Amino acid sequence: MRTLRQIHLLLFSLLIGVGVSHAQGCRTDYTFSFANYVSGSYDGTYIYTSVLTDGSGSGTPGLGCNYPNARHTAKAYNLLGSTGGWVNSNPGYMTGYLSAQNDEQIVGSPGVEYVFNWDGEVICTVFGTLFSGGSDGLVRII
Amino acid sequence: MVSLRVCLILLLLSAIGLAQQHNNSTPSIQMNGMDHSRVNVIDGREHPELIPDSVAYRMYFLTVGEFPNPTDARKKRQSAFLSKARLSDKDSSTVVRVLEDFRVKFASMATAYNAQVEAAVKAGTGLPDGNVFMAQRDRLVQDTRDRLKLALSVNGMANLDAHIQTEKANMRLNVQQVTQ
Repeated sequence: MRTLRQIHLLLFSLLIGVGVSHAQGCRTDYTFSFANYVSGSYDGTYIYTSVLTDGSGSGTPGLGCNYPNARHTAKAYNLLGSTGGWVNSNPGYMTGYLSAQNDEQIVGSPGVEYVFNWDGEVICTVFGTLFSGGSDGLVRII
Repeated sequence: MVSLRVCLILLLLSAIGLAQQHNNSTPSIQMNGMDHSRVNVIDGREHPELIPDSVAYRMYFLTVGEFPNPTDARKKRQSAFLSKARLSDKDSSTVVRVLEDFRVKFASMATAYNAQVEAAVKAGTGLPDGNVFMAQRDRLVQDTRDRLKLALSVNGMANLDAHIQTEKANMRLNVQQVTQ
């Protein structure tokens, strides 16, 4: 009789444990820090532009999180005149370090305006856009 | 029902206007544009004081620094960017050498860390502490700044510092804590 009560208690505890565990699901506390830097220069012949996006995160996924499925990609867009486009980092895991640098150059003349569009993004395959900031504009030699 | 709560951990402080520095003796370029919409991003043009030096110097070192044995085109590009800091030829050469060392060490550190992360994911063990990597990364940036302070002329270091502070206007930073 005592053994039967112990078995019932064990089964009850297991049921409660499974229920609590299922209710918790995936819990993640995640902190990330991503930065973007756009710069340009001129050497008398060429206009140079550079767009850099980098950063990383920290955190520990809880039980139930399928975090290996979450992949992050840093992106840098640099369109100078009609040259350039997107450069992407290799996809990384949620706490990995990411970096995408996109350098472009064109021959430039004083007084002429050239299209300069840039953007920096970090995309997560689960949560979407984590970081974004860019500008559509012009560059000219002064 | 899964909910996502996104909290800003940095508060915006008062704005300090920072004028772009123009050097009238050499040609430079002017960049104008209309921003895309962005969320929870600190814009260095509006709040340069909220871009930490550790971030600003890292971004500048990575952008201007070259790996060993750069092509002639990469050298010209680097020289064009360094000219904006108004350094002497000697100081410029020193920055080139110090930043080359930075790029090699930074790449090695990042590659090693990402390999640790990938190994942990594949093994199903706990991820390495991202804060430790970020602290090591920031230490390397600080060590590089210290090397430059020792190696550059006083005016050269002051000009480089002033230039990078100005460049904060061209930086954006997003630090967020996400709890799911």
